[in-house]
Amino acid sequence: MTYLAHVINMICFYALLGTSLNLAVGYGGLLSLCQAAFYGFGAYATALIMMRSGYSLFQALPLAMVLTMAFAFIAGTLLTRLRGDSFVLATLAVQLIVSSVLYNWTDVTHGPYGVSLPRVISVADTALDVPEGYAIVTITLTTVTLLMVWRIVNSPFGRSLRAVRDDERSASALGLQADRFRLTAFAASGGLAAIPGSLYLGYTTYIDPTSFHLSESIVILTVVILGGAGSFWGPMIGALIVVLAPEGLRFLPLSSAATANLRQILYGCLLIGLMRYRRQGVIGEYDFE
Amino acid sequence: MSDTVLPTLVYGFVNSCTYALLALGYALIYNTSRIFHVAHGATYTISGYVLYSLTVLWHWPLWATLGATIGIAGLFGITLDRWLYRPIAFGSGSLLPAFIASLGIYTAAINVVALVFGSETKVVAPGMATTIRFGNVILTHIQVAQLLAGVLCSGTLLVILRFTSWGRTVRAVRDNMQLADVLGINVSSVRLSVFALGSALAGLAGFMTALDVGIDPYGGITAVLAAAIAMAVGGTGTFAGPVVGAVLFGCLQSLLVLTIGTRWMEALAFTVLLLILIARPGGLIYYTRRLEEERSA
Repeated sequence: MTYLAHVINMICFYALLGTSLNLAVGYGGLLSLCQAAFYGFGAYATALIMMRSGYSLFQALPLAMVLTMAFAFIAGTLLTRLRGDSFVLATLAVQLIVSSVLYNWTDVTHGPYGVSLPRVISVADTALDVPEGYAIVTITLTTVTLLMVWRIVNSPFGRSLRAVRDDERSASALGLQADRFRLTAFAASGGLAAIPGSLYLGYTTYIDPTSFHLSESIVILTVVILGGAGSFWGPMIGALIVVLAPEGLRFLPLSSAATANLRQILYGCLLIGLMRYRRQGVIGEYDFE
Repeated sequence: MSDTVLPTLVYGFVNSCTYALLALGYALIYNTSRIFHVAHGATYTISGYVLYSLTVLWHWPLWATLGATIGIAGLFGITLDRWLYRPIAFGSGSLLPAFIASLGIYTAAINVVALVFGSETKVVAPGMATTIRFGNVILTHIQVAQLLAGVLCSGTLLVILRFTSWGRTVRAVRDNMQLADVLGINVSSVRLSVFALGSALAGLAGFMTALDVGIDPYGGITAVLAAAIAMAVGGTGTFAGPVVGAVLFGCLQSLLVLTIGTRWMEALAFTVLLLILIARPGGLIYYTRRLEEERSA
């Protein structure tokens, strides 16, 4: 039961991360490699707010989300001036810069030692320190977030964003300000990543920079592409596969480091196979043309 | 302070030589195929481990290892282009799928390396290195070799690209692939030769770095980012641009170490280059083209 709850928690985290990145990659056509940077920013922001102010996780979460969105907005203002490869290159640089700062700004982030959750998470005086209890919180917040994203992508804004992705020139000719849509999508995508960031912190009660490396960005990108970029349900399917597929490795007699390597190899091969044979993923509509 | 500036700049320049090899190899590949070739970092990492296996585990002489490393790196590049990029890029108008596949190759390759060799740094030449002294600049033999390899290889390559018929073909494909194809240039074979040469340069860079400071599985992405940003900052449509960008990056890093310390070097160096890229998306060496000459994608 605990194991099942753990898997459900993980699937929800990746579904949220995938959905947030999908807003930029799938709907906005902005291939970003720095989602783990925003995820980490959100997690660290939550931890630091809780440490300094005595807020609970659920009070710190909205604040962390606003901060992360502001950070994504500033980064996006600079990055969305670039197109194509230059944009991807710049997001890769942002990812490495944020990783480096998390490691080296030891006064604030404690560097490689990481940050522990100051208090046990509780709802109505019931401590949620077991995966079963926490899964209820995760599922609730995931549902709320997904409903929010559903509203966003099916609004006129979402349709305009897809129009800009598919044909910028025609969309501009119809009076849509392409840059503004891209920037909004990028900032919203970054801000949403703070939600799984806070949840992950509450779940593991400890974070360090290794959870927010480039390899994590690649996993999140795999979730989006595997499920199907630009489709609402795609990231959920992607998260199911990405979390469940490597679970079989548990039964092999391997060290945890070797298992982590094998998982990454699996994700790498999935990306190659998808690009070779099925670019739109399982149910996607956008195939990067 | 003034006696430390010169040595710092020299060390920066020595590092630039490795970056220049990487950036030039990357630019060769990028300019002819337009693929954001992240797997360049995998070539670099694999080369370091080839050096480690051959010299430390199997006790090959260094010159034979050098040849083998460069050969394996070149073959790796050819294999990637022939069996991966070409089938993907030819079925698509966009270059993002090839990039994502390249990311997959990079992820799979470095994790295979980590699985086989472990994650910790492998040192190839342990102990104190022998040094040569020039005034108040002290260089190890390996650093001198890096300097020579960087300057000679970049110089020769730039001359070859400028003056030989092969160089002219590469520049033609760089400037307009469709037109080159129509005029009877065998674009596929130019691509293969460029992938071989570019990857061999990454192999040489990996060899030199591994010999100097050792190798770990995760340094490849920083190397490829340095190469790609050096190229983007120097100027995309040229071959001198990446070299200029690499020298800028290497010297900037050294000066940052001198003034601020190693802790912030990586983050700051990349931030500065990122800002240059955003302020001047065409790169420092850039000439305005007519709109119809502007490269698509």
